[in-house]
Amino acid sequence: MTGVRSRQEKTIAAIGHIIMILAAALAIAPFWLLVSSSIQEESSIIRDGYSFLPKEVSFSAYQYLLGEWKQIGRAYFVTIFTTVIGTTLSLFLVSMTSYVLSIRDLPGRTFIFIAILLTMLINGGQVSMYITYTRIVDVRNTIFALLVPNLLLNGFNVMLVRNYVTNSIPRELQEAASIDGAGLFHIYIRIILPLSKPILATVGLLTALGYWNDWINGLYFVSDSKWYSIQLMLNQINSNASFLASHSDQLGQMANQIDIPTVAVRMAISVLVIIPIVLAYPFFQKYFTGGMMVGAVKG
Amino acid sequence: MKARKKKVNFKRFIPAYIMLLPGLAYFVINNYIPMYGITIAFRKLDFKKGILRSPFCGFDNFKFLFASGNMGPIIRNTVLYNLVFLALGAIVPVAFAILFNEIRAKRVKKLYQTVVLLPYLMSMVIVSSLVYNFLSADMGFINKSILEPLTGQTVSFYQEKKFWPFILTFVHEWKGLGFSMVLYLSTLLSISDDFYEAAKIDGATRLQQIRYIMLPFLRPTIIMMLILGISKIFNSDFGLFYQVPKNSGVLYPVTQTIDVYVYNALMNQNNIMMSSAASVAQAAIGFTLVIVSNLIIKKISPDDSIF
Amino acid sequence: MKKMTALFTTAAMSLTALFGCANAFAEEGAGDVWTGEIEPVVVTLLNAGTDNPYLDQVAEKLNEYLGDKIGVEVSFRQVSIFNAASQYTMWIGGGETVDLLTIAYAPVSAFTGMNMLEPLDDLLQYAPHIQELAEEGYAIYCPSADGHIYGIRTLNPPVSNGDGMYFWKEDLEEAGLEYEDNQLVTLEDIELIVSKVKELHPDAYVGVYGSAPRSGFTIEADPLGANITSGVILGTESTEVVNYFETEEYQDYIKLLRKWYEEGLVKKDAATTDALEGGSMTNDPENCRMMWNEYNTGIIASYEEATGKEVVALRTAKRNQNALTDTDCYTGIPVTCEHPEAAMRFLDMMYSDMFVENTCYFGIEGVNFDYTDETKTAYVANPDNGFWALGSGNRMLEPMQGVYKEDTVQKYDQFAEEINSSPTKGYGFLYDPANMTNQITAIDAVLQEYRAALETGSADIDTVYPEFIKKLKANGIDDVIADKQAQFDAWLAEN
Repeated sequence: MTGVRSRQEKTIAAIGHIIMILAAALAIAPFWLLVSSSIQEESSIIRDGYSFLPKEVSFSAYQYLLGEWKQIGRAYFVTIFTTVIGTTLSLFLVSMTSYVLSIRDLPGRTFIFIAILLTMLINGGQVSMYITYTRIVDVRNTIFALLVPNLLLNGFNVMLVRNYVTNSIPRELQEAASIDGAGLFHIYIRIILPLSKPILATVGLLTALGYWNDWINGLYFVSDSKWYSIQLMLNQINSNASFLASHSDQLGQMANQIDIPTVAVRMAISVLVIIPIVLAYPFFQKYFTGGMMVGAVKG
Repeated sequence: MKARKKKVNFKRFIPAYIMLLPGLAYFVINNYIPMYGITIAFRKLDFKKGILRSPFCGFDNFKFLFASGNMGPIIRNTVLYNLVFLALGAIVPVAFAILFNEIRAKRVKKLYQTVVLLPYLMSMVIVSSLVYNFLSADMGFINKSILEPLTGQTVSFYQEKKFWPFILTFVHEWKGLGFSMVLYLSTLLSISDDFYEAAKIDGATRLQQIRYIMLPFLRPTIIMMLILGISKIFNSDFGLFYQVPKNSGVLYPVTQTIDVYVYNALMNQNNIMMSSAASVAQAAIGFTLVIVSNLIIKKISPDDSIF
Repeated sequence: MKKMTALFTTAAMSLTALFGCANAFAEEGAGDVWTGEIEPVVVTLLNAGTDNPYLDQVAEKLNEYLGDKIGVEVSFRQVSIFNAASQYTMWIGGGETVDLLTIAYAPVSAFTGMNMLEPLDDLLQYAPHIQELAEEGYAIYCPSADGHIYGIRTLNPPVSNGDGMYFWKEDLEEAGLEYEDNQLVTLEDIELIVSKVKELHPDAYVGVYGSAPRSGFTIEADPLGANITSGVILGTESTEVVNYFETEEYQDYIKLLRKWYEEGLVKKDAATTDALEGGSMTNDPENCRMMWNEYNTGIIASYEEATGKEVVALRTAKRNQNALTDTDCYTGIPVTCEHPEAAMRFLDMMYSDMFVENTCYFGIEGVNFDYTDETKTAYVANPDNGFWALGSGNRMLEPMQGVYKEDTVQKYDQFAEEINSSPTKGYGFLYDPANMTNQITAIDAVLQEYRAALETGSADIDTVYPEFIKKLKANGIDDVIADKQAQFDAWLAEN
């Protein structure tokens, strides 16, 4: 994209700026409100309502969480660990599977691809999934419990990457390499992987968020709370708080024994959940760079 | 075709099948083995006998779906919202991705991209609290800081049906935009500069380049997302329709979808046979629709069908 | 957080007998030595979303005590109350060994319908104390359609079950109203007091929210061992099952709330919020000046401690002795239990042995909690190492939280006597809704739509209430009520 840009190009870019600024404002305002309501004094919320600039600031929610730091720190570690390992494994599997399925004359490829697509439309439900991962492959209380069930690979990602490889990576490149005597695995490593960076960044982002936000696997397959992820903690606190609030009359005195976290604490935890992803996101963006085909074909 | 098939040198593909093995093994364990769970919808479960030995009971578990006299509006809501989301999903993020792609300033670009992704990172429970922070009649930002000082009146959003089709559509777009934009962007980034250079030499304006280069490249992805959306037309984002309106009964005529109804009806029952029946019914309709829409696309434009 | 949990010292009538029996067991138990095999028992404990780190220590402590008494080695598996029912389905479906399930707020039919629970009839011989309690008249068995017993209910002290409206004492004094704490009042009294408070404090509001509808707090209704959805009998004399939502009492309640809502006495968002978000007497004491809550001395103490103000709680409905509801806590033995006899022996201990019951729910004495007096009638939790679980068993054995007070004991006596002297005609009967599952499912969905708005006054009664009743009928509420009446009549004829 060299040379002088035409007036039209400049106009389109200007419209782009305006639209993106609007979208960014709409995205950031609620987040700001999220942060400010996590530091707003509870009685002030009830009296003055939520506001972007809280009149009475209180960091008690964060102090409360700081008190639980041992547990939260550990949960952070578990989440980051599973996200990094899981996403790496997943990208490897998804790209390899998708590449093979893009080989044009591979016998049985359509059948396999449809079988994979089918998994997006139907599933057996939680109970049979649980039984499979406890009776057939027992993942309980191992690291696999957090990595494997439902997160590692899915039909959607395979479809995305396969379509990209089929449509956007020139076939001539692969054929040329093949003629030079390169094996399939060699082509995969040398050509497919580097050239599918944009789609792998997309799929990687999707997968990483899947791992980051997952709490189901922890809930079902991990009984030791040492291995609880940050999302599982947040989810347990949130869902139980609202359950207890709506059953308080039945629970009676039992409910009163329980410290239900305040709204501010719940907000503070979700701030803590989001911040690391925001910080890590630029890392992904490195791979969102276009225009490398030219060099690849020529070289 | 048959003659060609015979010539296929299977030996050449052995490495390919080996590379395919780990992925396939995963799908078998993670997806295909648990599929026997579908039969739960047709059984009278007896845990003493085990799931696979429980007796079949035909469509008994499906009956509760029709027990209610008011399924009409519920189905209408589910389908209509999905159609709107599908239409917007094919336009808004594509437009954003194209416009975004035109911006040259690299740092600003990174900033925009990070910021618009923020909503996608929040769970629906949190989104629900945020929407409440804005809309609450007693404490919400809109009422307390805008409407009350200006007009002296407040609006009880959670009691007023007319706002919610817009609020829910907005929240859905707002939350999903960052990600779907990235999805289309990855396709745009794969377009070789050669195409643009060639077009420029032919005297094409940027708008023409968008029309004749970018859109055709984006088409497979757009169609794929549409077909996927169609498969989920009887499903709904439970968090969006249950958490965000705070399960306000007054709003049900415009917010209640099939998933919300099933949840409300079964919340006290712990009945996995009925909930499984509901999801089997949804999947069956979705499955049929995908096959049909893929067939139609195959007729119109064979290259775009997904299988 | 300082709550009183239970009180057992000076209980009226049968309670004294019960206490005596627990002591007797402790004495004779000391002599008994278990000679049989020691069997492992896996017990589920409910928590509220945060795991207890002391599980293993607590189990160890219990096993030291239990081993040579009843031959049981107990281990715990904890699950949060919100996920419990779905987790149980997976565990039992997956064939995992669990010996005792603690179930809260899910009807027995939700489990027996899928044959997840063993009938306990033949196992009760291993639980002599549970049998004794049943013979004394406590409705602690959960029966079902087939006539078998599938669960043993948690025995709660009646003191926790009053219905009260809370006020600040200063407001009543300022308004020149003379009411005594624990006094039984009518809805008219409440209306009057609330309007007086509103005159004095124009910003005052009533803390009532859709998350916890409160109409039940003003209506003497017995749901006959099931949910009010399937119909209730009113008072202590009636044998006619009626539609709860069509009763005059219900209409009076929603009319009053509507009036309050229009006067600004109920928050505009009340239908869709809870007390945490909307404001309660503890987090907004200046404006939230009245609130419905259980009449419970522990709750009163916690309000007073949090705000430094004195509370007067007036009881808004007489509580009769009824069979409780089907959604209380109970304990059952799942079909994947490996040692049902040992499980039953352990469960029996939870109904008779103060040490076992208290260790299960408060943890280890000296580590997680301390008794505050020698009679062990009160305790304080260790603020740093608190341990608690949502309880089953005989909670009347548990000490009260906080410091022992003379007048709470009196109130408790009074309350227990009142309850025991007014059984409803349905006491002992439990409705089995198995034949009406589809209708009840549809009705539950209708309740979700209307109840919160009507019972907070947020909806226009003239248009919405008739619509609500019409929809209930369209979804078969009359059939369900007729079914309940038929079962009830058959039971009445037998007893």
